[in-house]
Amino acid sequence: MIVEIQINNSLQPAANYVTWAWSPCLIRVTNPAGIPGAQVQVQLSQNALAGGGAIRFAKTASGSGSSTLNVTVPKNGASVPFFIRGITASKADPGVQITARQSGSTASVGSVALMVRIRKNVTSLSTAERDRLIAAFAQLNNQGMGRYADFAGTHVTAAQQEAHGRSGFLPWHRAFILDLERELQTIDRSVSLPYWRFDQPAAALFTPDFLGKGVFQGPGASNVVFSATNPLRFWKAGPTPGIFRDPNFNVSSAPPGPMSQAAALALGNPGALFKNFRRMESISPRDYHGDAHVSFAGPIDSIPTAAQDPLFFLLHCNVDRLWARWQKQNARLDVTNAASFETVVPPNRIGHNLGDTMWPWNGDTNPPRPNFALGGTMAPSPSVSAPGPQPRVMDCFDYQGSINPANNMGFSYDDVPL
Amino acid sequence: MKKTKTKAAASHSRKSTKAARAKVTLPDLKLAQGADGLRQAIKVLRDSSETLQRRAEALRILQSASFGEEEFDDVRADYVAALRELTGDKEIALRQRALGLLARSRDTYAEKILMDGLQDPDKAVVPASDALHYLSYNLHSGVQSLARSIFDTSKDQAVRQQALRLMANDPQALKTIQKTLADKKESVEVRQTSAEALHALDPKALQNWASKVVLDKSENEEVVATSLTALNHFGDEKQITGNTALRKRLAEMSTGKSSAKVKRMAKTISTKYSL
Repeated sequence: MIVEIQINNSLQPAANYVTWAWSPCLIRVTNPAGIPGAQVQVQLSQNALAGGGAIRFAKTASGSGSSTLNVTVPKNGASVPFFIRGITASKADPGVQITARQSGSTASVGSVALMVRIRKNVTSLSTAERDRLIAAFAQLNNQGMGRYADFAGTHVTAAQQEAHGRSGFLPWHRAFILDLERELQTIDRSVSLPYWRFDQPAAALFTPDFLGKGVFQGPGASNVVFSATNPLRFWKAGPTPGIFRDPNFNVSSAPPGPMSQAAALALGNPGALFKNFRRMESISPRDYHGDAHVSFAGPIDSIPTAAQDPLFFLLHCNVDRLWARWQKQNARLDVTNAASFETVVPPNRIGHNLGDTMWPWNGDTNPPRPNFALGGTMAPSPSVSAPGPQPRVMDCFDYQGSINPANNMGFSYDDVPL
Repeated sequence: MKKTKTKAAASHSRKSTKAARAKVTLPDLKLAQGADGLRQAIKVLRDSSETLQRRAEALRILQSASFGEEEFDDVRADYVAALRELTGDKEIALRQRALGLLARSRDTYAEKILMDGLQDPDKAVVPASDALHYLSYNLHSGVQSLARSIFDTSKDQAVRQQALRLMANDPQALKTIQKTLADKKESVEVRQTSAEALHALDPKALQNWASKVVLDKSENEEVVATSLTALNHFGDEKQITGNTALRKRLAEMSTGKSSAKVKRMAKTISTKYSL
């Protein structure tokens, strides 16, 4: 007897990645030899591989799940659904093996390996995780000729009205960093985008072996220093090679500008309203997002050039994480709840209303959209179908599929539960 | 421009920059809400009788607001005007910040000041390395020819490195970049910057050079490690696997007397390409 196990309802190894969200799986008998009746009892169990991690099983996508699962599988090859979700993040791929055994037997009748792939605090990455991340970034950049150029060329002045200053700021950037993360994963499936908690010290990030060491108290145009073995030393995302980022703070401490996480989460009050919370984008004299950008002098301090620096994506991953925390804390994942978004009358500028598709993924180059749209549609995922090739604003809220499993965008944060 | 800086003043100004950057505590400017508060911030920024710390904080608040504060559009023009004013300010830290911000939005007023300063050091308001960097956001042939000229004549390593980066888009600079890369009398940092420039200008040429460096037993370890990094992450598999001498040398490096990082890189390449 042999069984086949599909993760995310797919036989593709590229789909063998799970998050905190419930992933739909299938099991079926592919060789019924030795099965006496019409069906067989199978126990699914897990063991940690080199990459580590842990999962939970369940028959339906709900509850807390269990460490093993007994399933009745028909002999005729019909598939039986079950669900898994990560509860401990992996550090490498593969991290967990699921093994199927016929009840009462110790012999394996099928197995599959997977990774619990979670967005983590950048300071918690292992050296190997760090090196895989920067190698994937370097490859995506590929001396300025890679796909990264589309990202740097999208977050520019012409796109300011698409992505900033209105209700669509958070959904747009959620889609933008997800698109980049998926591109990184086409290079290395084990990579997830980490976040930079800019309200906490993150000295490990600003080193020659990671995103480069800037010169605090240095000259006005410091390029960051990379070690000889760091491939980011060949970075080119603007007109010239190199990454320029001059910290306005001692990088062994947190930048003094951005407000604390607690203060940023409280911006939604009173009422835990999105229209209040979204002020974390930019509000004087202290905010969360804008003040992180201006913690440095260099491309990252200005909208037209910010995405030339790979730090941009770690910064925005943290902005997105904060939104995810706020959503979880206040039950604001359901887009039909008026408090989850800010709907205005008359409608907002196009691109900032729930039903609007977002540029550049929609390819719309008619005014008032910018007259260019780089990069095509949203990169697909082998694991999930959301938010679709041309995401709408409303497709970027229920990111773990908590309200509707079909909304799962395929990422989770290490400190934001399902 | 309120005040022009001489070449010597620009050079000495690094010390004052250092002192200014040390003050990272953020003062409370007690601004009003919305556009009125942003206007107050612009007033503080423009006021040379205010402390550098308060003016820097005003600049920080305004630039942060440019990322999305709805009221910022009301003051955008005044903000740009204030930044232009700052290019002639007495404080080099503010001149640097203003020129950087203006250059990133391709402000022609700032670009002219920077070009003038590079062509005539007596008109320079920031060090040449800064000016070259700021001009890199909007490259044109005038800047590139100036960069070539500065690279040939300057003795300042930071200036030469910035010039090399501008030359990385200039086919006319290819020979100079290759020559610099091969010149063991140049500093390691300048040679590494040459490698980055060559990688951007002609990736194939860098790969050829990197293979030669790895084979050269008299090469500097840092330069070797940089070459191994280029081969590992951007190398052509066929060329690497087909290069018998390179394969042999990588095997030697993996187990020989090389530094730990060179050994690690050599092993990584050998594993990656199944050598």
